[in-house]
Amino acid sequence: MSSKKSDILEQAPGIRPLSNGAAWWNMLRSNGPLPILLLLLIPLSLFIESRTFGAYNQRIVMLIGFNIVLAVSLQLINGFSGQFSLGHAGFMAVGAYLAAYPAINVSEKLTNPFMVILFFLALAIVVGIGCAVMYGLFVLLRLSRHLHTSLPAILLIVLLGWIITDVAKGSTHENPPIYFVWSNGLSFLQRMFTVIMLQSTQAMTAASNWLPVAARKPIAYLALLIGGGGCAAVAGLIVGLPTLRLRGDYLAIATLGMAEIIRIAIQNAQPLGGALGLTGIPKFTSFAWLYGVALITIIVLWRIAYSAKGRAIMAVRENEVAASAVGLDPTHHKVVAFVIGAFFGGVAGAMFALHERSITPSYFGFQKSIEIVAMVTLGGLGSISGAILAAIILTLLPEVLRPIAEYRMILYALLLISMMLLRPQGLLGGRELWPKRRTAAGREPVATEDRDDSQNTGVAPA
Amino acid sequence: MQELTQHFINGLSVGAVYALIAVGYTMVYGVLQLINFAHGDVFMVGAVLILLIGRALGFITPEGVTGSWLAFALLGALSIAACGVLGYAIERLAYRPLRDKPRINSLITAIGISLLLEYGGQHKSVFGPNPQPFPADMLPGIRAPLFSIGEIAISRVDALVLAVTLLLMLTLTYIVLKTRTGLALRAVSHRVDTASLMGINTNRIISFTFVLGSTLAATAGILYAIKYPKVDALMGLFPGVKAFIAAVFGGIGSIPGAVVGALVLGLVEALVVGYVPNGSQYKDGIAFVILIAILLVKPSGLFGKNVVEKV
Repeated sequence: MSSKKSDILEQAPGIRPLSNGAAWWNMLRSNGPLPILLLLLIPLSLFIESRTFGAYNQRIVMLIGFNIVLAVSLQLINGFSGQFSLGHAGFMAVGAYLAAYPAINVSEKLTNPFMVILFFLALAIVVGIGCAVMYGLFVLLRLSRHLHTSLPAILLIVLLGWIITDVAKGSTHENPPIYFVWSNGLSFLQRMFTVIMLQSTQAMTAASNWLPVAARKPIAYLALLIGGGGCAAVAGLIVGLPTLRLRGDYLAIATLGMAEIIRIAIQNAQPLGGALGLTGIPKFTSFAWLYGVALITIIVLWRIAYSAKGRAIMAVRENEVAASAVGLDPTHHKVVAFVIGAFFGGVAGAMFALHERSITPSYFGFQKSIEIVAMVTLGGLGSISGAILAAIILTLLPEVLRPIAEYRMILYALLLISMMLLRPQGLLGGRELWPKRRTAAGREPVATEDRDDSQNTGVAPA
Repeated sequence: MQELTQHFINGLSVGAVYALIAVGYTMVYGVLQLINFAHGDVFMVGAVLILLIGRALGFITPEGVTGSWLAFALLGALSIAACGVLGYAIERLAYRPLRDKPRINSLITAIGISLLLEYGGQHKSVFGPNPQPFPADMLPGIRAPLFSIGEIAISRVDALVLAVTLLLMLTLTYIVLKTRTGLALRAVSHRVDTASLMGINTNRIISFTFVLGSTLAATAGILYAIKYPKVDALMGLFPGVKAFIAAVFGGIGSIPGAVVGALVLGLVEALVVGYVPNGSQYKDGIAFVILIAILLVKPSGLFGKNVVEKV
């Protein structure tokens, strides 16, 4: 009788059951087998990187790791928020290039972590100014519906162009005025960036020398991962804000287009190596780093997906109208999922770049995006462990089927079609290999537990 | 001025090719609310099949090609008919079983079909991964200018593209506006279930839409291959996506909108290549910039119905 009473208390809305074990034990249990795997990484990496395992096998294991991070991060976007994105390779490219560039140019072979951090700070400042100006112009243009009211905006553009032209001299007057303002604005920001970097090089190098030698490379590496991921997240925000208002198929095309724009932009950017790509990137990603980051990614995305926020994201996926009727802002939740997914896509790209030594824009094309989408679809939309499983299967499959490797992409195509016709829910179909979340008593959570969600999602206007 | 006119004519003829593809997108979207991702690849199949059928029938041999407009017309007709069958098969096998399932399933299937056509075509037993020259020499004198006004020359290629497009558009307008099938098509695109209550065989009309769209796309593929005498298995990707953007620009579901959107897109591209420094490198990106801009400013497009979706 008394035990039944405590059951009711535990299930009361808004009241989390008190844990009856040590905190670390609950932490381990609530994340499934993942933290235990984290502890196994070091002995495993000794085996994987030993000579007996072989370079070829090691390479496949690494590829599986990158694909797991990519598939799991895309799962949040495509599976949980239901926004069908076809441009994940674009975010991967942003992460890869914006980690590779500072790794080559400012990090002194990863021994100068503070320069890396400064690089991303300077980038944030410069891009922030650029975006603020663009956004200001956009708001001005939107405020003014008619020609005579848009005059201030036009005047402002002309004035801005004139000022910037004075600052950054040396361009010819043959180009059309809009292009002129644009390119001079860019070179102004570029100059600002260079000045920030040059002014602080000495201080940053001194600070890095103060760090213990063993800590320098890992800190630089982490800074590159977070910086690369952050840039991808910003790209995700810029891409997501306008496009996520669109419905399914429009969004697919728009994200595909955005990824292509990113690729074409990189291909035409001389500092990023153009079509030839970047070479001479220091190699640092090891098995332990890659799988450590992958496990952290899985844990973080797991905790997001099966949290109150995750439920809200799924609610928006199921029915936008119903979700907004209960006070969830659909655009907000879609953008949040998109930005987080883009961040981890960028992290995967950064790790990839720091493993491959050289990257080219053609690697991050449409085909790469499709590969990741195939993983997510095969695993089942809305299943993190499914995405992991599918990433492993789809990376191993072409290797196992070496003799018919030329059929790989045809196989992907047939897989997508037959999957949709025969088993549209994917391998796991929204379920997970281990329980989604446990209370301290080891039960599946009850639905009422997440009532406290309402405070961070805002209330829809009446 | 002469340069501008030349760019203008070039843009118009590329835009006409886009228009032929865009009409297929917009009609399918009209009846099914589905973006037929594979449509751009039907365009590719149209061009590739001419080459393959020509080889099989002996018109195109490694030594040379038979220079005859009649032979080319025969090959074209065969290829276009085959693409019509392909369009029917795609709808029947891949889209119809999924019609009452969530839209995302049809979308993924459409991507799958598109990949299947692209990578199937790239396989060496079908066509091969490398671009191959298109036998435009089968049309004697196609490269010669048709006539010139002052220093502006209009090539026979551009004239052919524009004439064929105009003819097909007139035929399409006649079919859609004057025939019973066209009436049924308009009814289905208005509302499928009501149309079927009125005794319209909606499955037949949807199949008809796919066949019509695919034949137009195949024709566009052939014209494109004559204009840029090269064929490869991935040639459908960019024209396909651009035609889709053109359809969105004009307001998806609206046939005149798709044509206008495609012509504008072709013109903008030609002008950017002509006048912006390094423009040719950015050529493929422009369409996407236009798409994003349209979706931001006027998502319903130029002629689109302003559907208020309760979100």
